[in-house]
Amino acid sequence: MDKVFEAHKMSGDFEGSFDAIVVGTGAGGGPAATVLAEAGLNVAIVEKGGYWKTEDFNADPAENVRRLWVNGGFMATKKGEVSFAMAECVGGSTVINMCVCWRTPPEALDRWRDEAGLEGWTMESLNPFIDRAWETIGATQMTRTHINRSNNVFERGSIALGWKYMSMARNVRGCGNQGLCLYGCPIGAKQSALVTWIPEALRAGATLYSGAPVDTVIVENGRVTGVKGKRIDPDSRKVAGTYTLRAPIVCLAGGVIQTPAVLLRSGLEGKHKQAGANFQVHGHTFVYGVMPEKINMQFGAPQSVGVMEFSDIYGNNGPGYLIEGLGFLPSGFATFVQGLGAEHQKGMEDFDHVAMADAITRDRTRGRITIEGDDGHAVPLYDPIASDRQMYIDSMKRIAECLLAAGAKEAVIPGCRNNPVRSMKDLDAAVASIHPNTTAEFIASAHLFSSARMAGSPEKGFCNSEGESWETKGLYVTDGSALPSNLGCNPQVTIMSASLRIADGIARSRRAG
Amino acid sequence: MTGEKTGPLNRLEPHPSCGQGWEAWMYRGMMMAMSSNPTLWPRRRFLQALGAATAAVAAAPACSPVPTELQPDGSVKLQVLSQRQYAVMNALALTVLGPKAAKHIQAGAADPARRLDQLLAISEPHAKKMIPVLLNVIEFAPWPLMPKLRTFTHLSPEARLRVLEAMKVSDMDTRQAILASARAMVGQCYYLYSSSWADIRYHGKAGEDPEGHAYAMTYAWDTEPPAPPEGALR
Repeated sequence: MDKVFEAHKMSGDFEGSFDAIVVGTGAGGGPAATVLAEAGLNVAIVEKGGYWKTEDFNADPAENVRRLWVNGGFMATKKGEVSFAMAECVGGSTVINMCVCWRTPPEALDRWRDEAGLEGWTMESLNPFIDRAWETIGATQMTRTHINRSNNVFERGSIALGWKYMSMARNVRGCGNQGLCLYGCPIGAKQSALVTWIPEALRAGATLYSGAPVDTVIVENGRVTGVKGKRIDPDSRKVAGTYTLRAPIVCLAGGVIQTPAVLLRSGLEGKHKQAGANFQVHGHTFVYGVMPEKINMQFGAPQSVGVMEFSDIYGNNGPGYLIEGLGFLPSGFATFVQGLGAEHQKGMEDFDHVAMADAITRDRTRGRITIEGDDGHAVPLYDPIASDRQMYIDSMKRIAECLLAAGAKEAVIPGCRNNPVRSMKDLDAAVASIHPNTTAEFIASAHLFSSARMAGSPEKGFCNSEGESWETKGLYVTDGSALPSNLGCNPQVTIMSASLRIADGIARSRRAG
Repeated sequence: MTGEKTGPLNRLEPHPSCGQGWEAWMYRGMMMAMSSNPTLWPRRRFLQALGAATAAVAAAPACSPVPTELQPDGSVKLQVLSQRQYAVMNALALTVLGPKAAKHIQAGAADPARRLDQLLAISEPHAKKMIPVLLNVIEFAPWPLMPKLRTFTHLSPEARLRVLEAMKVSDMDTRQAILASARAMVGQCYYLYSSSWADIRYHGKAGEDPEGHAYAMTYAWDTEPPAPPEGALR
């Protein structure tokens, strides 16, 4: 029988003892919990958000945004340079991502070794874990059945321009092309952690507490001994009480912003102040075009076609951004529309003719996660360096170029004073009108990394190559925080694989006594 | 009211933005506007002095009650926003989104200000504090931060549009950031209402629009795209 508890419904300020506690249920928590439970450990999984099921996702998008998204979508760096799309629910951000899957690029492992001194993370050693993640979440290359007209526009543009493009892999089984990936898949086709890793972990005997955000890690004599947290109603977010769980192993996987916040609240910044350091993102830039024909971008796989031309992974030598076709519902699209009053209305009336893409930029900037206030809430700091700001502008130009090459009547570029752009000859002038600082105002990210990273020495990262804190025995990081740098492509498979590998190491060392 | 380029405002970098965002972006401009970056302090002091000078002009309408037509109806119980902040959001929506949206909002078929209040109610303390601050800035801040001397809610609809249009072409990055946030915020909150969809030829989810769904997935391409590069797939 599943041991699943909604923490706010439990009476009193409960306590419990386990062999291991996994904090978080997304791409970093789900796999670790599964491996540890399969190894015979008595595992507690704690999740800040609610345990919403597939049948709950039939609600309207507004209700799903409220239930699933961190702050209902309002999350940004302290000074607003970057906004974030993240989830708080069982399954984490895998419940609201757009499903794109990439195996770990070999170039990333090279950078991890060169920049962070991380040894032992080779393709050969990581491949078995990538294989397991790939299989578990059903990652499959997309075929024409799932490629919608919006993504097809970028095939057409790439062919016209002679750019390298391809269909990407997604983690779906029985996808109905509903286009609701951002709001929780209403038919359970998306193979998020909610329907893969967490059920596997529960079958292996793990216990799940939802509505149970962790405040601090308990450390005694240099060794982790448990966690303390609150019990909250995931619907209203009201606090119902507290809890304490004890275990000699704690895996932090609450996400790249919350994981270091827990460490900092616990006084575990480290001698070299590595908790929260090295924070990195992929910037996402967005451009849309109005096509002569109807597109209906809201249906189909939101992202299925990728343009590799400017990427710097898998042997490509571009500047470092990957363009991916995109589809949004009206509420998402509305946030990009220019103009005011009647002009804004006209922009929205173009909705069914709009094709979009975003570019995932492999930023070189490093920021930091800090905490503020009596409650020690997380505050991300991230000020993109000049070359990254320029890359944002370049990537938007390329998306617009692709749209126009595919026959778009006009392209709309964020931060551009000359919108809309109607021809290639106007494109350079349009892009020149974008101020780099302005562009930074409009960079979003759903891919965060490295805020408690693995490294070859405590001066360079919070964890060692096994994912364990250099200073606190038994304390591990198994989410994107542990990765030494960003990747240049969608990270969910790499995060899952790293989580599997770290948890496998924990299980092996426990067996070895 | 555009192109202010004298005195301390010369320190502001040119900032020809048009304003964009996505689901999570409405928060951003407010963060920029409220930034604690020490390099902004000279500008802040200047703005404070100027603000004080214009306070007398702004004081009368600022103290007056929010116009009735912008207030929530009696059935709405606000959780985070004040009545005035609700009214500012309402005024923004009526101004930014165009005449069709304004008609729906005024008829009670959509209430983006209430939607914002509901989302803030479940947000973390930081967002819960800062977004009302953004709305206060839009309401109360006079020239030069906002190109107006009166409270936003007491301006006529035409004057509100003129204020936002002036911000759109302004060289001040703070104005751009405020406008971008406001525009993204009202856009997202309004278009989550199904009553808004018919005006933009969106007919709901796949099951509710089978014809549109089929159209999106059917086009004259019978070849598959190339595969990802070696190593990216299994």
